[in-house]
Amino acid sequence: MPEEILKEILGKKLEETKKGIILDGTPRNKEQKKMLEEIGIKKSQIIVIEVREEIVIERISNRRTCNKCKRVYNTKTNPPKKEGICDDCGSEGKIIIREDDKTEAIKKRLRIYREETEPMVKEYEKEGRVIRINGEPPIEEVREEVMKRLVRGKKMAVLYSGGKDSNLAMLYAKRRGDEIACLITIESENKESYMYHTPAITQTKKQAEALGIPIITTKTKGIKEEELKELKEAIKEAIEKYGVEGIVTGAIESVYQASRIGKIAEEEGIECYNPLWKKPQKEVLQEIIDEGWEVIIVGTGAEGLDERWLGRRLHEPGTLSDLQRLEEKYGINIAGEGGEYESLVLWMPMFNKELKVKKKEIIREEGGTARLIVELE
Amino acid sequence: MGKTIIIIGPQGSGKGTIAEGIKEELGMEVITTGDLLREETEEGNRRRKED
Repeated sequence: MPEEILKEILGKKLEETKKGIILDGTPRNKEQKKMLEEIGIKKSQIIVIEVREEIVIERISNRRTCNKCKRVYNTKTNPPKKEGICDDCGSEGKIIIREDDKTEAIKKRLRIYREETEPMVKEYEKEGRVIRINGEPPIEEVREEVMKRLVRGKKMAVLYSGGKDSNLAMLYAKRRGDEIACLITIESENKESYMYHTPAITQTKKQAEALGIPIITTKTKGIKEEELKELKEAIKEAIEKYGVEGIVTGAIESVYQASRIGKIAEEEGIECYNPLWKKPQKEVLQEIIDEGWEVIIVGTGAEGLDERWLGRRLHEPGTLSDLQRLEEKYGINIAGEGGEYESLVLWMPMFNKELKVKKKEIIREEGGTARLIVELE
Repeated sequence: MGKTIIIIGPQGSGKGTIAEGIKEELGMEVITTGDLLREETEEGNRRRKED
């Protein structure tokens, strides 16, 4: 269908209706997504019904249609009372397989879905608006799951370090429609912990206050693999106390982090949501800067990033370009994913007040790392 | 403009049935692209007849 006609019809329909709308069948590709944005549909909730291709083929190849009245039957779930004869038209109607429902035609449409629709869904996913629902159970169950997720969202615990990534991941979960039930902070006594980011972690209680969200904190000695036990206990507590159904992490590239947390989630039968996974570093930073977050650098540990960087604000003019210069020169990761720097969020859109630094002290460590110990008001 | 929900899924995923099944509870209207085009064509035909 020509894009322009679709745009015109949809635009007209949107003007007429006063109710909220559910769009079924549009958008199917990146061009249509862009078209919707042009007519003002930007902040939708996206529900993706997922069904494996072999199941789609099975479902549709069981579909039969009466060639007279067009009534649809299914040989397995909804057959006509008498084989080959339409319940309504009797012997006048012939039960046939429509051209569209033949396997070759289905395969072609599935290919288009894979090649055009799925890349579009990935774009929506980057904006953090996608709710994926398993469409394979009986339709009434799927419908209930959709309703549940739309009405009350999924109860999530955020693995919260207080830095920019865990805060952004939390915002994405919220945009997806989730309810942030609690935060989980693991304080590692080992400064080089593989899993958790140590500086400023004692401040997360103040951040939780500003967010108005309960927090579970626990300490770990930070021995590789051992520290996962404490995390597992904390997640269990979140499930028991707050009925948590999933965990949100700010992992962008760390396979170590994501796979281990994912495994715990699987063992506990809950979702592990990594909304920032593989997101380009610059996009993460740009989004935070554009939204006016107040973020300071509280830990440094890479070539070119010395203690002079401590306390520097991410959205200050020049910070991003300075980081990019270091990226070119030393190959650092500008979002700090490799531990180049650690950040502390003083304000982001979910905070009900801005946190202020009351006291700060620089601690220098062996190997050129430094951290800023801050006390918040 | 009110809230919008977009339902995406391959053919046979049941998305059309689900859209119809949630609209009442949510107090929303479903816009199915296929239907829209049909309406538009009928409207066009009617107008052409009247002319």
